[in-house]
Amino acid sequence: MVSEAKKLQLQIPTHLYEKIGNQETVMNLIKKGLLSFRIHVLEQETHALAKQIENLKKSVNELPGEIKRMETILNEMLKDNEIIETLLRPKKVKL
Amino acid sequence: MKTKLQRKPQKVTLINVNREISELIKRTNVQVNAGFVQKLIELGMKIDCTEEQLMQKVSELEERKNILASELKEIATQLTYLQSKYVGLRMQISKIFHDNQVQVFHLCARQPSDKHGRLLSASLIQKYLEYSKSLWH
Repeated sequence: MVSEAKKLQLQIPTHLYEKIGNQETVMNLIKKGLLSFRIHVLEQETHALAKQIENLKKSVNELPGEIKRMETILNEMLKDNEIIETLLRPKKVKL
Repeated sequence: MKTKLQRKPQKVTLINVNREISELIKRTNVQVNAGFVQKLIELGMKIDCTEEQLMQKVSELEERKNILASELKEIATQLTYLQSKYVGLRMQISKIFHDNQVQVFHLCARQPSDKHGRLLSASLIQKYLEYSKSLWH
């Protein structure tokens, strides 16, 4: 059975292959190229992740203040509700 | 009449690659054609670092990426919790605001007999009139 790794072939421009001269050097150069390319991609990915984290942190830092503000408003409105209900409640008429 | 120039097909040589290169190619997630291989070879020629140094750098970056990905997940969870709390509060406020507003309209139609009640009633009416203009802005 032929393994998948053995089956994978790369097309190399012949003029380049002939210029370099041997397969081992070609393979080493491809490997170095692939590693450099991978580094480049990983740098971009980590940069994007760091940026995303930075943006999310901004929201995470802003929200507790907003929540506190909303809680204050809610408590105030609940108090208002009690007062309004008291004001609307019909007063008992003394006989 | 325009003549379409056709590029002469590039002559290529096929080489078998080893498992290591095959794995690296899988991770690149791009189509590895002759043009891309040429760029890789040219890139390989330009790099001064050794293979070991490059592999070390890849491993460091992969580790950093994993750390950042888990940090992102943690922050996203935290943000989701805070957002749902915020949205829940806004919904509660919205409901109580409308209840209060309706009741304040009823207050407008009544005139409490005592002075304190009249003042309280007037200030609440004023407050909810202003709230309705400015609360969510």
